[in-house]
Amino acid sequence: MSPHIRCTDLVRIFSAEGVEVQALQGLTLAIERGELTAIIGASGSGKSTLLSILSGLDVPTAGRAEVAGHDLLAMTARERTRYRRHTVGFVWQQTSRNLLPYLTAVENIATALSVSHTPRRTRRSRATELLELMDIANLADRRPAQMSGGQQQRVAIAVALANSPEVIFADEPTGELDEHNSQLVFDALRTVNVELGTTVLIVTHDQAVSAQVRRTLQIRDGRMSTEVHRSTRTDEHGNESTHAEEYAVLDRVGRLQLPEEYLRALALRDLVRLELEPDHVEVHPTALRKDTA
Amino acid sequence: MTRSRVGTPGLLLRHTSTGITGSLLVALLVAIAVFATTVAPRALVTLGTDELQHRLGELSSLRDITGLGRIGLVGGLADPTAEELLGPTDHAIQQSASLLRPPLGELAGTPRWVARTAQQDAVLPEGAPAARVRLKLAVDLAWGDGIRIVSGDAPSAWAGSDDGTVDAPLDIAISQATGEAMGVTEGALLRYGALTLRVAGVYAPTDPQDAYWAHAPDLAEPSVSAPDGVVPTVTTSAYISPDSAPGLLNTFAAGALSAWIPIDASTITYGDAAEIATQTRTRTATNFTLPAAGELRFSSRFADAIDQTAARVVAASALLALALSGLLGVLLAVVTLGIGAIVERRRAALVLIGARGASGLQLRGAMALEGLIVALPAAILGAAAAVVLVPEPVDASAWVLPVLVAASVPLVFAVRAGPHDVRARRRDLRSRGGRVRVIAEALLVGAAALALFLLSRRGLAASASAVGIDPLLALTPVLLAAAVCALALRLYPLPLRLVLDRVRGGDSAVGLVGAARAVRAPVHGPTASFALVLGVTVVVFSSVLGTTLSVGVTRAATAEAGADIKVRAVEIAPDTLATIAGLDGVRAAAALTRIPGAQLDDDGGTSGVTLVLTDTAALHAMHPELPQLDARDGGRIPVAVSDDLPLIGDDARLGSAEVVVQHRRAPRSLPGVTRDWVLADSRFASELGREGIVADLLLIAVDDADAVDRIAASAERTVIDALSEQGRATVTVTTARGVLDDARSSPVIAGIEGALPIAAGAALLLTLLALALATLAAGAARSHLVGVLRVIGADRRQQRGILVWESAPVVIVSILVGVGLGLALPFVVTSAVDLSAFVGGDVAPSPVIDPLTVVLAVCAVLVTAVVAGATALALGRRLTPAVTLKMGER
Ligand SMILES: Nc1ncnc2c1ncn2[C@@H]1O[C@H](COP(=O)(O)OP(=O)(O)OP(=O)(O)O)[C@@H](O)[C@H]1O
Ligand SMILES: [Mg+2]
Repeated sequence: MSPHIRCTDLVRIFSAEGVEVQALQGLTLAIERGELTAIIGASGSGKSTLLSILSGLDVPTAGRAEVAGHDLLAMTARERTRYRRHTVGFVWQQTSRNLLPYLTAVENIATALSVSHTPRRTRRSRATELLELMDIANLADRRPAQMSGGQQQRVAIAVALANSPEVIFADEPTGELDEHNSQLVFDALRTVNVELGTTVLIVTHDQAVSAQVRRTLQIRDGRMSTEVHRSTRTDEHGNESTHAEEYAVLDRVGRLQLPEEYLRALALRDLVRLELEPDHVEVHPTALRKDTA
Repeated sequence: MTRSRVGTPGLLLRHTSTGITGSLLVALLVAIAVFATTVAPRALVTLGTDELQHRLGELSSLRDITGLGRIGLVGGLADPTAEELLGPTDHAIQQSASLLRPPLGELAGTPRWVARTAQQDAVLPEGAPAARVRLKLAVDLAWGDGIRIVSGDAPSAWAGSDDGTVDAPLDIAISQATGEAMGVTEGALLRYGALTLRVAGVYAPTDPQDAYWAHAPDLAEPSVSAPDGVVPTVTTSAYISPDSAPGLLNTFAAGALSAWIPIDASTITYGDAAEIATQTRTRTATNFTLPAAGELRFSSRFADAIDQTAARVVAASALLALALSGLLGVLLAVVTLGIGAIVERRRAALVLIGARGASGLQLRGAMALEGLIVALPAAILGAAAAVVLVPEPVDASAWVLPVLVAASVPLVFAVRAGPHDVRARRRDLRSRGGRVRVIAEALLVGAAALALFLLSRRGLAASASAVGIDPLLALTPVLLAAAVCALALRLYPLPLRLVLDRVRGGDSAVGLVGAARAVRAPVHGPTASFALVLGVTVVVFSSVLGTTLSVGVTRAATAEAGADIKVRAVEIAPDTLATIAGLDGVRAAAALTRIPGAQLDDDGGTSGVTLVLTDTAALHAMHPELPQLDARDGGRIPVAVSDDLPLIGDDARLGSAEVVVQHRRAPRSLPGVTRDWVLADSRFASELGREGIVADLLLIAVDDADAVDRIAASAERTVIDALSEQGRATVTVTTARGVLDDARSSPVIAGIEGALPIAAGAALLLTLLALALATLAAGAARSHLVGVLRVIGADRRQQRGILVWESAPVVIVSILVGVGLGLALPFVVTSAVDLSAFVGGDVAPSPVIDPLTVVLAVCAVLVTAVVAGATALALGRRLTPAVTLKMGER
């Protein structure tokens, strides 16, 4: 079965009046159905750009992008609307941007349901169900201004879930929150992932968040560079320990980005020596001689 | 805590009820726009009715349908009674009115008729003063209704016959004035051809003002002509008893019948006018047959007066359309700004809901619905208010504009809800030269040019019968303003870019930020600039047009009067002139002698001209455009000629006198002479062979306009005193002020002169509102900027400087463009349209620019801009950097 989210050589160029910004420069990525994945990367590396493309709000300049079987480059306006309505949900960093300030939690959810023509009589029960899932049923009739930031983000997740999307995108959902609230919001996202089987993709700067995710992707300069897979192992004494393995993305022509720390640790620069072993490749630093240059 | 709603209508209501103030403002503006567009055609019709009644009222009895013809008298009846003889004719004439269908039929009163014999000399009895009497006998079945016998009795029936026995005297009744003029009283016997007339009674009209006497003046008063040294001639008519008519068949058969249908114009409405004119024309087009080979030919000035009035009303409504459509344009631009502000408020919600999967249709539909909720009640209220205020019936087409205005609101809501971009829009990176914009601008310019072309080909008025807002006229100024505005917006970044390049190198932060913002992130959108340009245009246009019209009306009145005071009399003697010139307050006085049939010869040929002799020095003092011609030029007599004469060489002959044409740029008309005239000084009268011809026209200029009435009275007395008894009746005095007051009493002129300042004031108010709305709409961006500026430590002066940059360039450019357009538009209007029908006179008025008015208008706009800017600055200052920067996050 093909991956739930797949991007191949995705390029997004913003251009106007002589200024050209390459936000994504050939990004490749695959995420399986039901996965909970984190994306990290320096500011300006293209994370938000990627997410807005995946949630159908922006169109890539080139490449391929598919989410749940929808080809994001070949969608008609009508398909795009249906895609936004039923396939994806999202949560943004700014708590105020996710909810309409003059509507209560239930009304915010009901607005999303109204957009998808959900019959009126099922709306209230659906809203209550979602708020209960987020553990905030008591906030049903409050407006955002009457909630804490963490509560707002959880309502935002409930709104994003309103039309039962297959994928949830969250762009720094905990960016404006303290540690405790961040944990609550992350837990809520994990609940969604576990209980509803929704594929979740979180962009985050928060180490505490990424440390709890099985798979973390790193973007550098608009391209996937490395990824970390974490697994929990239980030893013979019953102690749990987390193991992290670092992976790098090899592109179609064999290019590879080594993590910064590796480069620094071994002072790898300019030219490295490669050695092919039976089951792996070795990379060695070289002392560059003048005459070979 | 409120209970949450989950139904779609409830949710929509929630969305709509947020930020209700903006919606209320838009609703108010919509109500005003709908009110204005509903009330304007009704007010025009009312104005038309007023004008019509005013004009027809001035016409008095001339508006009646009058008929001339001959009476048919059935011969061969044995001893007919008056009723048998005249009854059929009377009946037919009554029918001529009662058969008229409405609306004309409703205005027609009971017809009257008088049959008269041919005129014959009546010989006065011995002892009466010597006079020649030319007399007609008149018969009127209802003659006793409007008179009372002051002495003697009503005439009795005559037993004689004009083809047999004529021995017995025929009784007649004469008016008191006739009796006095002839010097006879009751009982007097007059010889009248073969007949003898006996004055049985003397009567006086019970109401001399009754329209009857206007139609039969000869029966109220004689007309007396009494040249010096000749026996006076009295021309008059006398009633006989209708019962005498059967004996006078032959005499009346040779006479004439006059009849008239009185028209009561006080209930005429403008809406019926065209139909009434047609009916009148139909009535007068064919002869009206009376019994026994009698007939009447009807005529009336009624239809022409209606047409003239209609032309004037149409011209007026065209002018109003020009001024009001601009106003409506500003109003709609302001409404659009207001809607923009509302939609901008909803933008975050629209973007969010759009991102959650709402289709464009859903979003636009929701906004259109909100527009409908805002506009519908407002439109209904506005229209209802207009209908209640001016309950004038109008046809369906008058509803087109109000409905369009109201319907445009939801549309604008939907359009402004436009395509969304979830990502924050960076306006500086949006390319300005979109192809759509170029096409739209090209279309706009093309449409403006086309409208201008059509207007200049067609003229101001579409057709004489249409009253109301003419779409072409309404569109032209708005299109022009929009096109010019689009061009200005295209061009105005160019100089700013130059400024930007200059300041980039320098170290003026204020200039850099200000210019960069003005070029890259203009605060005022095209709608605001359009509102500003059009608003200023309307202010300037209205004031220039107002000045032009009022000066035009004044000039036409002055031209018609010829001077402050004009006196006409059979003779104005040199002594009289000298006395009047010496009156207190008289600046100059000139008596004109007009001699038609003079000949001016030059090498090119001969022209028939009217020679006008006067004291050219005095005339020059009154009319500086006319030359002073009192000094010989190389032995020849200097003359001036009217500009419509074919080119005449400098040297010419007037009769036998050698003259030299002095002044080529003379006006078309002189007071009292409209064309083909030659002006010479009266001191050369004898050399021109025109000595001793009396002047009959006196022009007086006064020092103080307030003294006109006093001086006019003294001048009249002076002229009258110098004339013989008979000559006194010929004296008429006209003052320019009087003519002007007459012109101003026209409801249409008064209406236009009243409407233009209102239009200017309203445009100013709307410009203020547009500016305020645009400045407020930019509030968030400005607060953010002020926050940033304060964080980086800009002082107040620098902050203010940057904010001045925000609106100053746009406001200045808009004012310049608006003033230019406002000044140009009157020239376009006057070149496309002849306003002379409107102001009167025969010289088309050209635009008159009163610098004071224009400067005042511009100052008002500037003050408005400064106030709006200062308010924005004050509001911006109230916010702390923390708040504004957080706001900027969004
Ligand atoms: N609408 C836009 N127009 C032009 N350039 C843009 C636009 N949006 C993003 N960019 C540019 O694209 C690049 C990637 O931006 P993006 O917002 O994806 O970064 P990010 O990884 O989300 O950063 P951060 O962690 O700060 O949110 C940046 O250099 C940014 O300046
Ligand atoms: Mg980002």
